Amino acid sequence: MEHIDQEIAEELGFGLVPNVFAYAQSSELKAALWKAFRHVVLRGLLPRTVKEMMGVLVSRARGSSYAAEVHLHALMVQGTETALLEALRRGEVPSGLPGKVQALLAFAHKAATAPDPGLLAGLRQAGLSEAEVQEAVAVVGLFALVNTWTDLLEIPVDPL
Amino acid sequence: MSLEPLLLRLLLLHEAVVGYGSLDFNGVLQRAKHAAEWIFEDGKLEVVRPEAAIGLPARGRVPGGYGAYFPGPPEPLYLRLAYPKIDDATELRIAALFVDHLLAALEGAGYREELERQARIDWLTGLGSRRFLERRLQEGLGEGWGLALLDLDGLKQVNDTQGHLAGDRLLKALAESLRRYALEAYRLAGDEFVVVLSREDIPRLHRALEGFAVSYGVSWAEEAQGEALLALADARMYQQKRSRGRDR
Repeated sequence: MEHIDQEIAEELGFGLVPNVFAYAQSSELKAALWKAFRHVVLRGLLPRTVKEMMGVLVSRARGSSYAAEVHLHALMVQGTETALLEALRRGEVPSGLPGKVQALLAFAHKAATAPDPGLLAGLRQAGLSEAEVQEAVAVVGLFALVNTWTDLLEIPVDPL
Repeated sequence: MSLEPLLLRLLLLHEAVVGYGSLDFNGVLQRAKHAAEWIFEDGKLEVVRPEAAIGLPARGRVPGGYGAYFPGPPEPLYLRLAYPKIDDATELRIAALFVDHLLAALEGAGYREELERQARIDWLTGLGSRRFLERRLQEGLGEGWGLALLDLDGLKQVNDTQGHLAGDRLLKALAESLRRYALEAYRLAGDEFVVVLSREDIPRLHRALEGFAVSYGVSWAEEAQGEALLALADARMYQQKRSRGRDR
């Protein structure tokens, strides 16, 4: 457990283990949640910033607050403009963003509640590779898992 | 809201730059190529051989994009960001910023790798260095493995009578022979070499040493490890040298 906690604190860069992981009483579950988040969101081909925005939209569309609040805060710390943050907070897809980013956010917004293979066409049209398309699907799936985990267990948002 | 796309692209640029620090030279280039496609719509970062970039500016606008010369290490190359919107003043500044950060990251990674290479490779012969051998021995040798410590006899005499360049040629010739027989060889210092080998490698070592006046001693992992293994081979090498001296 200590090893995983140290890894989480170091790699997230917040110096603490967020509740989403800290609440796991089994080390297997904690490792599974952390590794999934680490390899889908922190690493991979798509920019982390965009994946965090996708996470906010998925969580807002599903009515889940934990991931939405935590990632809005992370985006704010990274310097995202207030107007963009506000649009995400309202669960809206902001307009006027670069094509690939726009396509990913629109995909996350729709796929969160109505997953349909037809939605992938928009990603491919925007120029995303197949590996990037798969990663986008994994991001939506992962945040759905995180939403379920935090909502059913009533995990409180970390003091931000 | 009009600033949003620009700020987001700067954020993506920042994300790419932050990740450069943990990567090696090629890793930085790959990350930058990927990031360029996200920061610059329809943009593409290309690495061009310097010969193909003759006449282009050391850094600045090039036809259809932005270019910069990178002098190395490890080797000179020309970076070309192909970007259709480069005529726009804001886009030009973002391109310059992106390339600026990339050049700094490549310089850091390039020099780090060059220092590591220098620490690993013996400058004269191109074999492994003493430091590299020490690292290898610290890892420990497995059963059936050992090392041969070789001493090139008569190097001082060659240096004194034919000059140091002739001595260097002799050292390089021995190194080349060890390499030709695919032996894992290191140069310790001066006229001393070490070959890390298994028992099956001994006949190959003998063939590699044909034509050279070399004294050597072998020690095996079953007898010692690390510095002690080296000391044992050294003692056996001197024993052979002394007995040869007596024979003469």
